[in-house]
Amino acid sequence: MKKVLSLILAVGVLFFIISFLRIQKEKSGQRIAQLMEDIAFKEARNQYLDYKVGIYTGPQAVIEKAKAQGLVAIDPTKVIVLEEKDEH
Amino acid sequence: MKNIYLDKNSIKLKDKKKKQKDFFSLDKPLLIITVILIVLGLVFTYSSSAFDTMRFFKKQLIFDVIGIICMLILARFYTRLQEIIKPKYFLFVVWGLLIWALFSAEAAHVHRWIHLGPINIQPSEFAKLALIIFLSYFLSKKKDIPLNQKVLIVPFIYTVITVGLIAIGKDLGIPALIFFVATAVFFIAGAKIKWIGLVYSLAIPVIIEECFRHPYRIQRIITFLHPEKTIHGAGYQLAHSLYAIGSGGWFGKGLGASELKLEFLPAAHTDFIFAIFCEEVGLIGAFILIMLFVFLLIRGLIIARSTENRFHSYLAAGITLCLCLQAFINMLVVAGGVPTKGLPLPFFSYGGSSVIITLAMMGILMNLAAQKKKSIDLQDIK
Amino acid sequence: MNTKKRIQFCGLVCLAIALWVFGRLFYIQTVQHKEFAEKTQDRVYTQTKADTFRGQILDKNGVVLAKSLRTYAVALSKKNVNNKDALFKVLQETLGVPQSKLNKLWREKKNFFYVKKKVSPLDYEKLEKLLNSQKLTGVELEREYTRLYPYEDIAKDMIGATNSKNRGLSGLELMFDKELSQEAPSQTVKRSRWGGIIYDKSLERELSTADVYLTIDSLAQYQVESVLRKYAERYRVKSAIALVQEPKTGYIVAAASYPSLDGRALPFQFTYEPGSTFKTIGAAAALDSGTIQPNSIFFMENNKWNVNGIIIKDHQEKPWLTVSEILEVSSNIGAGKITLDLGSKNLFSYFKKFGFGIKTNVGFLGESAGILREFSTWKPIDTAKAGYGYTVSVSPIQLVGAYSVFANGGTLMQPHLIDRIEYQDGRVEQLAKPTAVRTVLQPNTVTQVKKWLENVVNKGTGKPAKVKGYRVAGKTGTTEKYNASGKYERNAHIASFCGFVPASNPEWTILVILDEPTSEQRALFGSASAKIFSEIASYLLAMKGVPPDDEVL
Repeated sequence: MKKVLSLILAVGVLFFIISFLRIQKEKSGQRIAQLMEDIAFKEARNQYLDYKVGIYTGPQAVIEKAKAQGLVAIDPTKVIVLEEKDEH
Repeated sequence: MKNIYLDKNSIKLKDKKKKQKDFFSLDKPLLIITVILIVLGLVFTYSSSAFDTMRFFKKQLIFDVIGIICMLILARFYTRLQEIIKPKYFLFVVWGLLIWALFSAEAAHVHRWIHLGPINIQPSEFAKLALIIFLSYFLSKKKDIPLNQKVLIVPFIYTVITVGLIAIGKDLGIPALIFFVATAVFFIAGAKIKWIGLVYSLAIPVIIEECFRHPYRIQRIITFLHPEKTIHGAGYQLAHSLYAIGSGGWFGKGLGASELKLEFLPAAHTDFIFAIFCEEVGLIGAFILIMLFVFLLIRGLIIARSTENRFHSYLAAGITLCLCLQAFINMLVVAGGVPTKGLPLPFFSYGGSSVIITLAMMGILMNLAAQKKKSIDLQDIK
Repeated sequence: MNTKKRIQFCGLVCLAIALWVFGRLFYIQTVQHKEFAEKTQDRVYTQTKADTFRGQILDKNGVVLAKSLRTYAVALSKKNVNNKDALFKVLQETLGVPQSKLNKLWREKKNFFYVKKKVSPLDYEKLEKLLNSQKLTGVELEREYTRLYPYEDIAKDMIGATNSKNRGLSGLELMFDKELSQEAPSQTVKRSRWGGIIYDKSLERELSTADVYLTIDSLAQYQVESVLRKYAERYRVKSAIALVQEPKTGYIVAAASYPSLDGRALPFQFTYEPGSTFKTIGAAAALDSGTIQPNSIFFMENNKWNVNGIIIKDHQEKPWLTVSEILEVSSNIGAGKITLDLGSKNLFSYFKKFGFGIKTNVGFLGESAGILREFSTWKPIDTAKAGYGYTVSVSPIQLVGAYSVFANGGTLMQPHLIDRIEYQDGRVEQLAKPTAVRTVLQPNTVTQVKKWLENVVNKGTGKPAKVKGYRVAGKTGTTEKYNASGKYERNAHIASFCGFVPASNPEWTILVILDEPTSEQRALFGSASAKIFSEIASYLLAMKGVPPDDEVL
């Protein structure tokens, strides 16, 4: 008698585990999709911010700001280039 | 977490089984069927609700534990308890509860519950049991008389009151079930067919009148006939129930793999849990479940036929028929065979009162099974 | 009836019901199985929108020129809106759409209409927050991809445009559409009733877009475009072109068109008779083949030279000019005599060596091959005219390549615009490699030509091109335009200048063309083009920090 009941319980637990795994899969699936959505959005937002940064640090913006501060285009003869020299 | 619960349960069960082996032997077939149904019921309560919340599963587990305790107590002590508590008084208490329920808060226009803080009691479930016990007891006391109308009137009135109190609360499923089971008990106890026929022929006009008085009942019937036409309104639940069953096919989609339970089927964990069951285990699984109840039916009726006194006989038959009929009617509702009623599927549907009463009934049945000491042929009754 | 029998009867009734149940289930799960399975499919599964991902276009150093960003289109569904006034306020606040416009749309449209497209993720975030906190419904958000250009119009003519479906319409976007874009077909996903999509491994998708890197330097490009635009507007030109090439590698560093239209890259597509800038070619060819010597002199025929009945005129004082002087003052007669002496056959073969008459295959759609007729069709006057830039039509890229031959010591280099394509899997397809097409001139010839070109800048018409502190070599050019009726228009000119700097070790060959500049005399002699050259060169020299090579400082 004990054997039969234990068998039934064991099978029941097995069924339960199968259900559990499947349901967890769905639940995680939902969560993952949600997270992916969040990530995609944050990605988009970051890229947009990068784009904005690009505009503000782009030549147009920088040159305007420089002009506003009274900076002028450089005379190429006045440029000094510092280069590292090999030790040998 | 869930493993702890299950282990507790299985430990308790194993302990009890040891005790049982020492004290008394429970009727094996009944025990096996009960355990199988409890386990399956839990698995599917989990499966049908776990995507949203573990709440239902956890609570159902607790209800099952309480129910099993009741079952074992009743299996051991029922007949002795019965001598102490007169069925009539039990029934009166239940009537009190039913009246109380009428003044309780509504849930979906139906007065079904008594709300006691965190606990909800459904008195109609208790009424089921109380009336069957009462009728069995009352009718078994009338000896050897082909039951004529005078004798029948009193129990009939009690039946009508019980059913009426529930029906006033607009819950129609359980009163209908109780009425059918009561009819069966009357019939088994020896009521003449013509009286039964008379009652039903009187009842039909009443039912029809009731239907027309409340237009939503006609609505319900139309919804029942063509659920897909009102799929976005009243027919939603039935249509999706059919989708669930149909899409399961012969072998089902696999345990836990129901798709419609993803918030698509309302009451998936209660009245319509059978739809999820069919979706997951298919026709094969449904067949097995039906057979389980059929075995229960057969076993219970064998007990009813072979038990020593008439009270036990009627009681056993009444309980067996109540459980099995309830199961089959629930299945019919889910499958769109009859218009929707609020009938839970025993062992499966989430609900404390349902679980406890169902297990109590099994306990009583086991007790009655143990009572048969010798087979006594019941006298012929004309 | 026996009680037992009655019990049995009830049992049978119950069994009958069980049978009914089974029968019904059988029907549903067999006969109606397919239908219901399909309907479940419809309810539970949905299609995601098809998408197109797109890679980037960048300059040589990885500065992003064109990029696709996820943006949003905000729309309203009238029948789902629960609080119109609050909603309009929120929309105005976050998106900047005035309520008057919203009201107008609300009145006009039946149910669904767009409020604003290309909404940035930042605005979308603000909007969503407010919608959620105030529990406003009725807003529908669609995702879209927008192609954004961090530097606005830079290189727009080369890059081209894309359509709303993120596919290329013109220019490089079209040429590399296959590599850049990745079609993401719509997928079937499972979702729960209230929207949450359930992810499945089968939905995983690998990104397979590629990034296209150009040989362009974005800062140089920006500067070149600015300078060109400044002068183009000042002289109200019809169009203008500036092209910068590295003579040692053949890579295009900057290529600007004015006006800048998507996909119309004039540096590659423009065809014109080059005029005086071509005199260098003829002289170099004659020198290389030995027809003339470095110190050859030519008689100027009193500024009126008759070639088979056609008069070629000049405007200068001296009776005899050296080759260097011919170039310095840009004498047509001098140039014509040089090429006539060389002969059409030889001249034609040198033209071909320099790469005229065929596409350079720099890698741009619609590149012009120029027009170079077979020398057998040339009359003597044609040969003479070819000496000072008529008879032949060229594209800017061809001309700048020819001058690069002088700059790098005599080799025609394959020009490149596309540097490399980088794929998501790490693979890099290097498309630009310094490739010599052929040797055109001997080293001695090149040395001499360079001297001539420096003289043009130091002593001749090219003075405005000078950059203080550096040796500059180049040639001015003026062409009268040939109009549709076959006559040369008197007042429509193309003013150009082509040169390289620093002459001692040239880093860049630069070509500037102004098409139909108006007003002042100066412009007609290519001086404006020379001035533009000087500004561009000055900037490039400073940018790269090239040390001055002119002793005279």
